[in-house]
Amino acid sequence: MSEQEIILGCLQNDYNCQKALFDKYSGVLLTICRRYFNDSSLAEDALQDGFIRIFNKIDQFKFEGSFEGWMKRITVNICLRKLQNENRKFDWSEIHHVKENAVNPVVDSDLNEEEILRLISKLPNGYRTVFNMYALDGFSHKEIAAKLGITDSTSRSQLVKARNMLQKMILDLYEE
Amino acid sequence: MRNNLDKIFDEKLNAYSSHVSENIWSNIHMNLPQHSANRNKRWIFLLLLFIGVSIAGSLIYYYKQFQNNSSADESIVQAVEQNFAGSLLKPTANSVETNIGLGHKETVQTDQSNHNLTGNPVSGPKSGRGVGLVLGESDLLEDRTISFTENIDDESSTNEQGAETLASTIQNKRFADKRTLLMTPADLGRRSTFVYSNQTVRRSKSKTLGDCFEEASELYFISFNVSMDYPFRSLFSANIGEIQNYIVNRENTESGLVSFSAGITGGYIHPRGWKAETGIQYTQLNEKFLFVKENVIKIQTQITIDTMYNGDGTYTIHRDTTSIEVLGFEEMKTSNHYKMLDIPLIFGYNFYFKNIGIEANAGFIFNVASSSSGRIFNPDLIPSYYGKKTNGSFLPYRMRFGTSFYGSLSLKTTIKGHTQFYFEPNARYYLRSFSSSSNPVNQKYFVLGLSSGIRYYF
Repeated sequence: MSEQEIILGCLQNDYNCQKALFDKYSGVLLTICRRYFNDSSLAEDALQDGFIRIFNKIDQFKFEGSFEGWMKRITVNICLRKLQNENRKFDWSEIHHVKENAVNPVVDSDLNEEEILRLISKLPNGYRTVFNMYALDGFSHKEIAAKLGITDSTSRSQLVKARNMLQKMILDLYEE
Repeated sequence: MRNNLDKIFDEKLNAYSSHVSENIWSNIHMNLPQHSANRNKRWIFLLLLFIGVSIAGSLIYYYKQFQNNSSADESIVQAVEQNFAGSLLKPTANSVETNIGLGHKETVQTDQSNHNLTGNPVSGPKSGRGVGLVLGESDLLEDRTISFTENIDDESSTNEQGAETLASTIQNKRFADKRTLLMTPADLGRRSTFVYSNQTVRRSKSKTLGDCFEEASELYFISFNVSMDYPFRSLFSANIGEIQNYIVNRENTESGLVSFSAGITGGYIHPRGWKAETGIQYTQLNEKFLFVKENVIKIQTQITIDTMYNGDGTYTIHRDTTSIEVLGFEEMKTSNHYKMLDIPLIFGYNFYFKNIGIEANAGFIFNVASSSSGRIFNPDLIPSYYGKKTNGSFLPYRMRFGTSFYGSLSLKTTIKGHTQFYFEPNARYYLRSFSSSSNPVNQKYFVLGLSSGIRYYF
């Protein structure tokens, strides 16, 4: 079943097509949710809500651009909304005037995906959210600031702190 | 500006697929509008069909029961008057005074419809001259109540013989037919010891998020439901030996009928599947009382008018009045109703199997107000009305029927958006006896029902 057939089937609320879409993309979308939540049950809740939104809004997909990208964007938005609803306290401790290239990370490309997810999950909520949005989901600092209700500089500082922390964790991993 | 770390993380995670637990799909699917547009239409059609059948069935039952109740209540005297009002006497072809003899009110029945009494003639004192028709059934009164005897030449010469032959023929035919209908109390109500009662309703939950997951963690709903129920009754007493005969008579004369309930409820569903629900509900349990009283005597009066022509061209009219006692039985048939206004408090848990939502429910239904009406044997084994017709002289049941326990298993499916349709087999057990202190036996009910309804999620 092609992606287009699946989408058309989902538009008709066809059970088999909905299930096919879920089987095909749920793993990838769950990875996104796991990046934002360090609690697996919260990540699964976000995935669940994300798919419900996708199925309910699939008629708004105009077959322009990547369908997977459209789903990912919905999932990220769901994660952000859930984070806000959860009233999670972000660590917005400021490190102002930090240059983005102040960190020169060393990353071992042999780190597998689960190890990377584990490292990200160890970040404080604020660091993790900004790092995910900027480094992995392509948001600009301006967009991040607007979505999270913070300043651009705070977003930049959070990103730097996240990278530094990740770098340190990776180095610690080597030393072990 | 993205750095090396960002790129490597992105490359690693961009296409990485995490393991997804199976129950996530179940939870998702539970909250999705299911099926194609045609299938939605089919569900709507089935829903409307079921509701229509339920309402029609309830109305038919109620109407029949109302009719039975009314017929059993008619005055016998009134019935006699109505019969003759429509008989051949009314035209007064010969301007003859009409005399109608009435027997004892409780034993006489000259009924037109003939479904309460029948029997055989036991005696027939004649008075006057002419022909007396011995009629065993009131139908004959309408057809041939009056026999005209013409005598032109001889006052004593009448066609009495012919009239009697006609009457005999009709009479024999009628009684031959009637014998096939004769029933005794023993024939009538050999039923189970248990009688019935009615039911309730429940609704179920399931969350239907749609777009509303921003608020996220809880769902509210409103439900409308109708249930067809059947009551099972038990009669018992601590002094069973002393009132065994009473219980047997009650069981032989009362039986359950299809009952119903309907209500509107609202509730809350936690995302984990737990549900709490309450509302208001009307419940009606129906039963039938059927008792046949034997050896009932009715008295019928027939009037025969003879017109005799004299030789000079004039004529004389003679009237012959005949009273007949007819032995038969009387059928007493009444619908008994137990009506309740209840407040349910139900808790449930939801889960999903394939594309069917399942909800297990349990809880209590609190009775707010009750009423009962109908007819049963009183402690002296006399059929007695209770409720509205008694002016409080016979009160066998409580003013409130008390709390009942409710359990059900609901099967539901989404028909459109936030709307679900569900079937819900249910059971309801009344914790208290319906009986008051004037009722010599305890009367408890267990009700099985099948409810259906619509639930809308906010």
